[in-house]
Amino acid sequence: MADFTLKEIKSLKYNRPEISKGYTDHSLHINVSSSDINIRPVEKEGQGKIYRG
Amino acid sequence: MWNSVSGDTKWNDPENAICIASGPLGGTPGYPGGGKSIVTTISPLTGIPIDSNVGGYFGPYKKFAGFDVLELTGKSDSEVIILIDGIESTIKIYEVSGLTDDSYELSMALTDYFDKEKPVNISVVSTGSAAKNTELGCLNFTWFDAKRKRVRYKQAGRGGIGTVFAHKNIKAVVARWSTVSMKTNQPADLDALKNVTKLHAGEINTLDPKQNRMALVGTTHLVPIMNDHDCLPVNNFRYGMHPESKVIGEEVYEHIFDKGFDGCWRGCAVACAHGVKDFVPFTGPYKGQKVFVDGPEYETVAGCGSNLGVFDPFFILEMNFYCDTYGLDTISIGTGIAFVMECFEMGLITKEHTGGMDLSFGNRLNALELLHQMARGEGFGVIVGKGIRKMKEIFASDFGADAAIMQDIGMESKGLEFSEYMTKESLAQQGGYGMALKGPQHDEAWLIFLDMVHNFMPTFENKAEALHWFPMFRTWFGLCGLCKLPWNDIVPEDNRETKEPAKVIKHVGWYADFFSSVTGRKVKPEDLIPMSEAVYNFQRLFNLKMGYGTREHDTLPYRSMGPVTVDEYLSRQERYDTALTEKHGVDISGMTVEEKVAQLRKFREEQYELLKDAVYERRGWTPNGIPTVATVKRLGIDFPDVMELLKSHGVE
Repeated sequence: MADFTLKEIKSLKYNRPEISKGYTDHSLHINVSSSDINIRPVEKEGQGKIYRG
Repeated sequence: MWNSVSGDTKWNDPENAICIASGPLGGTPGYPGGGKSIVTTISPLTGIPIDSNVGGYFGPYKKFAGFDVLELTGKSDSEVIILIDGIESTIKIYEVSGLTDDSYELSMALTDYFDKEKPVNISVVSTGSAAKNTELGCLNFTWFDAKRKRVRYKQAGRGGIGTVFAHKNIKAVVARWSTVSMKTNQPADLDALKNVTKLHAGEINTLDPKQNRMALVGTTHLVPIMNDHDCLPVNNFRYGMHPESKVIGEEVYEHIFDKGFDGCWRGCAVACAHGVKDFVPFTGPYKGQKVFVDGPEYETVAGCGSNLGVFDPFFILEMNFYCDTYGLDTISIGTGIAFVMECFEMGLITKEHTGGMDLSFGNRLNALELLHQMARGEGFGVIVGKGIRKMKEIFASDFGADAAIMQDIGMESKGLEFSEYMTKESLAQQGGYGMALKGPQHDEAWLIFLDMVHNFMPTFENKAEALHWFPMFRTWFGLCGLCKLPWNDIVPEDNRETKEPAKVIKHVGWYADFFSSVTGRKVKPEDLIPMSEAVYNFQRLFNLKMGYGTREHDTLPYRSMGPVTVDEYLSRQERYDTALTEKHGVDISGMTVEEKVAQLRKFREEQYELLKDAVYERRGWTPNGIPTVATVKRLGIDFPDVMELLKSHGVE
């Protein structure tokens, strides 16, 4: 296979959310238009209503 | 996704999101089927949310790296690779140049690049060249097979998720993680988790060799079963059996599969993810080279084999290999090409339209050529790659084909191609396909086995009830990060003597214990369905938001209900004559076959509409197939925008 090159355009160091009882309670959002990287806590209310687990 | 998209969002709009989640139980090593994840997006084929349950290590690794859910939005100007590195706690986005589109090579190259020393730490999600040129793109989710020292993959196949991924200019998403044990999910009760894992895995180890032998033959064990019950699709679902089906069944693949204990997640006792080593394709860019083929599974065998009128296990391997390599869904490919072949044989399209190709049933080389054209983005393959719904429009408008007959034989509903079960005699599976939220994919309501093989639901009421509870179980597996196979493919020896054998209550009890041991929430078997019901109804409302999700969208092509042609009727004349006389009280003496076809159609279409009424009522929906206000309130999903949506559809 021909050589390929990777050029880093965005990097984010983060504090890894710990898993507890199967959940990290965090979501990762990446917009590839803007290269935005966002880490958000999962809303407990929404999690409880939509997904009762 | 609900928050990312509006009702006007199309699949190729930047705000369309691809979401990947592995649930609280996903990533449990040793528990059978304990490593799945669910992928969703707005589908290019249907315009509504598609969900695809997939194996491979990406979902668990992403969660262990810190994230329950990954959401990808936007559209990059240049091709990018995303790395989620849970070992270094770093997320990176790279521009990439010079990397092949070919998923087979790409996934190996990136595994090597991101952790050459410990390739088992890497899982890559990618698609292939054909995903750029068609609407049938799949995603390949990898794991590193330490025994064979090579990358393997499973597919999030349905609905064109790979097409959305390619359109966003995402070349790959890579997850990196290291050690995995039962403690990695930090379960609430490790001892209880170990205990229930031992019970379920132990039962599979004992019973699979006696029942399905999936650890040896994967899901190819279904080929002879479906053939024996007249449910194996042959020649675009015209027929349900074929004398040559043995050639593409378990007896053959058992000897072709490379021996090994093959799970798509660590320690899975089902171990159904078989493959073939040193296969040599006879067409395309890999012609004459030795390759490894991941598969085939039942759906690929039936879709790319019997449904095309081809009974050649090596042809199926080549279709399987190139579909994966090019990033194509083998089910939509099989059903789509089967439709094209029937149109060709009926004279609805000719060589003038196909670029000179003879696309009669059984034509292997030209079926493969269609795949290569899709990968190159040229020729008639580009039209086939648009899916059946759009092919019907093009064939009618540009080629002058008869729209009515194509509506009857084009095996799609909601825009999604049927998966590979012939449902003419199974009203339950007709409902399972027609009322599936995302379109006719068996994973939501795989009732054909329970209905046709086990006869667990003989009455109309049984079928309507099953169409309520079965999708809820399947939704639950998707939500939790699990595979469905260990639930009801391998069953306890005394299952048939239980009160509700279709539900496999012993296993449901184990799943409740599994859930309790990980999450710390003490649940009983009866608690699992309510967990899913809110999500299931929310997805129906999501369809409504996108302009679908009502009764008219739960329609089926008549081929799925009964015989369209005289030949089909005659192939099962005794059965159909008996149905007309004994079930419907028709005096058939003096009737032509055409008249009998029309009479049977009237009854069967009426029967399906009655089933819709019964299922909607059982689900708490209006006669138009919309969840009622009482239902959304009961489920706690009466959010302001949901109530507004219902109001706009006259539901108050």
